[in-house]
Amino acid sequence: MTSKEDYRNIYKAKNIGNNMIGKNVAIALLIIALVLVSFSAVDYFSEDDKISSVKPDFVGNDTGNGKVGVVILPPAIEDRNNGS
Amino acid sequence: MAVNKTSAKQSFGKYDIIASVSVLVIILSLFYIGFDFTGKVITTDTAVVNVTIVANTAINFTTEYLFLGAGSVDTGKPNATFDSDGTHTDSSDWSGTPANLTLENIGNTNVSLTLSVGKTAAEYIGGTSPAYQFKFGDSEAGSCATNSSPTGTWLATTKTSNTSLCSLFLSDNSADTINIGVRVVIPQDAVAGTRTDTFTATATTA
Repeated sequence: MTSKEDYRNIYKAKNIGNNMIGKNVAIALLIIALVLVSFSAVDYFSEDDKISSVKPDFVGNDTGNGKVGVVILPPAIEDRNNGS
Repeated sequence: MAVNKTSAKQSFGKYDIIASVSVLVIILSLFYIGFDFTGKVITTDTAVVNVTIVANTAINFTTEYLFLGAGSVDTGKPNATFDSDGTHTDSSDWSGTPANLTLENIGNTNVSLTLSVGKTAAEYIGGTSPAYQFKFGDSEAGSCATNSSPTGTWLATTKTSNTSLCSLFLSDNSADTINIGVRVVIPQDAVAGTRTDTFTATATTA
C-alpha cells in the first residue's frame, strides 16, 4: 500500500524529472544557440560569395588616336621673262 | 520501486528538450566556426588574403599631334618631300622640326598592335602621285618585342585596313613605348592649304 510519504516522493520525482533544467536556463541556451547559428550562417555566406563575385579579367581592345598636320604653301612666284 | 518507475518514465520536460537541442546546436556551431571565440582552443590559425588583379588593355598617344611643318614645292620640281625626321627635299622654304607620334601601352597586358589612317594619300595631300607613309620603331628598347612589319622603314599608310605593327607590344614600364613617324610627298600641283589626318592605333590583348 502506498503511503503518504510515497506519494510525496512520487510527486517530487515527477517535478525533478520535468524541471531538471529551468525555464530561464533553457531560454538562455536557446538564445546562445540562435546567435551561434547566425554567426555560422554569416560565415558561410560571406567570403565564398565575395570571392566568386569578382569580375573576370577584361581582355579586349583599346584604340588611340594621333593627329598629323602639314601646311602646303603656294609655290613661290618666279617670273624670269619680263615683258616690255 | 514504484517511485523509480514513475521518475524514469517522465525524466524530461519541454525545457529539458529545448535545452538539450540548444546545447547540441551550440556544439555544432562551435565546431563549424572553429572555436575562435575563446582564443584558447586554437593557439595558431591561418588566414587567407585574396587579391585579384584585373587585366586591362589600354594604349595612349602620349604625343598625339605631329606637325610636319610648312613649305612649298620648289619651282620646276615635280614634288617635295617632308618627313618627321626633319628631312625635306625640293622645298627651300620648308620649316619644321623633327618630331614623332609616341604611343604607349598603358595597360597591364601585352597586346598586338595595328595602325590605320583616316585618309588616303590622294585625300590627304591631293595632286598627282602624292605619297603618305609612316614608319615605326621602339622608343624604349624592346617595346615591340615581336614586330609584324619592318621597323625603321617607310611604309604606305592604309585607310581601309589595319596594318599590323607588333604582334607583341609589351606593357613593361621600361619597355612599352614606340614612335611613329610620317612622311609625305607633295606634288607640284597639290592645292595649298592646311591638312590634318588621324592615325588610329588598335591594341588587342595578345
